[in-house]
Amino acid sequence: MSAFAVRGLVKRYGGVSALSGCSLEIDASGIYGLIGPNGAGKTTLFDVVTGITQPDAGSVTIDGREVTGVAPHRLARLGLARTFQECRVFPEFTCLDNLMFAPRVAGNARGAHVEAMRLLELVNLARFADEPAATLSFGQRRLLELLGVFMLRPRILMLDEPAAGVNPALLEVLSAFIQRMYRERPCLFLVVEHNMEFIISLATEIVVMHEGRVLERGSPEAIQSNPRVMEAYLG
Amino acid sequence: MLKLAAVTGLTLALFAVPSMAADQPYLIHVLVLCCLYAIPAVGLNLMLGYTGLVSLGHMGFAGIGAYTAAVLMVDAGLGFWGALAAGLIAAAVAGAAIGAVCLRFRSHFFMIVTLAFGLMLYAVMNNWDGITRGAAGFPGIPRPGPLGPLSFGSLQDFYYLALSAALFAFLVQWRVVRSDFGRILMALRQDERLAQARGVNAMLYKTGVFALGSALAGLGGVLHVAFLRVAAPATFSFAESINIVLVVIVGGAGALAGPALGAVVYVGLPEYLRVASEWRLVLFGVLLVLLMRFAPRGMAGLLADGWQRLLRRSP
Repeated sequence: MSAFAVRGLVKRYGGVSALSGCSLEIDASGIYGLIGPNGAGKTTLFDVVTGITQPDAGSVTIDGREVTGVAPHRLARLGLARTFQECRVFPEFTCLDNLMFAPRVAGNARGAHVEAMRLLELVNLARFADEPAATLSFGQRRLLELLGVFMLRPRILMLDEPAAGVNPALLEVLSAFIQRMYRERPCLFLVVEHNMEFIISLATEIVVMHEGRVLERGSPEAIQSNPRVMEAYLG
Repeated sequence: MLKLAAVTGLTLALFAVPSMAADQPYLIHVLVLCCLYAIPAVGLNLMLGYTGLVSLGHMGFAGIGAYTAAVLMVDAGLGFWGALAAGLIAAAVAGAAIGAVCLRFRSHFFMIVTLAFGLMLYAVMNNWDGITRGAAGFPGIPRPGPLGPLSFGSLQDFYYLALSAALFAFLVQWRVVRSDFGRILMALRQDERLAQARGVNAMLYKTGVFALGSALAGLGGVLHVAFLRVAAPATFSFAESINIVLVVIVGGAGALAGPALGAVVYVGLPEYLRVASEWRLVLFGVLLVLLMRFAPRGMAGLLADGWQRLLRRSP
């Protein structure tokens, strides 16, 4: 039984197949980098898994449990947490309240406060704890969004281009934070990313998508020298 | 602490008005009307101000509460208090049911659907002669019967009732806004997709606040017809639904005191200036334009800014 599996996913938009029989099984925890050229179907796969889009065919399972088309809020409760490509935080809430939101929704806010402050300190945002999230820079908001995901204590994390628009200095903080959280509680990270340098240094395994399917998977080193991957990227 | 003292003082002052201005029934009449507008406005503030749901049919739900109570009191001989409870429940149930339909739509589509339901409810009130007595209105609604040692027959006594009901509505609003439920509502206004990704069943919470807002509208509606002693469809028309949106926005959407300030400005000010109905909408239109331009957070925002400036000036 796989921790996470998609089987035969198909999604068509008009005459275009965004996903054409995409299958991927992940059995062990790890940081999995999901890469591929533009139009490979990464975002569609993400949307289908996170319950935003209904697939035309195929299934998604978490720990053997079928979750195809399950609503996002129920997925969150099943332990699947996500960030958004466009970066979403609650702008009017303070940074602390942003982090306390998920525990409050789940009804276990007690004790979550300590964890929230610890996470803020890990990424040097503790001094903004009582400031509205709208006052943060874009990169800081990305970090805050990522912290919020860990407050859900997820088993599967889906990060949608976490490095996009983040300056190099914050990128290091971001990368170190993800690695630290992974060491603390190894679970399954699935990271869609265009920043090759970032994902190669972060991931334990790379999954390459091409034309709506998984083309190859393997260690970052193996993928970098794989001729099929080179061909897919260079056309 | 200072805020608590100010609110307590204001409440006591409002309760003391009849004994201080016993020879001014008109003033008390206007204050009752302020309360009667503030109560549904609190309900709409929870929906519009805190959750971001702009309903254009809000007074239709006040009408459901009012006509339910009217039929029960006049045709079934039920006492006022039982009828009030039934009116509230009817408005809440209708709010949940109709809300569940409207909330399938978003932003301006949601507004249009609520507008359509508001018009439908009005059409029913206006035309279902057998039950609602139609356009002529539903006469003979009794004033509330005595509750223990308290009676509500006279204008003064009704003022105490309306004021207590308004305070109750504001208390509910305050409790909701401070609760986790309120926090989730505010989160839904800021970013619904993010809230869902963090485990919020958006549909459930939005339907919940629609039901709560409608129940408060129902409370206002029942008291309104008990005060006028007649239920008329015009009290719950489309124009009134728009007016209550204006009350909330002018008062300050998403501010605790917003509905009170809006009701005072909308009802109290024009009445007091004796230009009443002919000029009210003109005055209000100009005020709305000025507010949107210079104070988008409404009267409550203006007051809050003024208060901050005052605090900074006196160290």
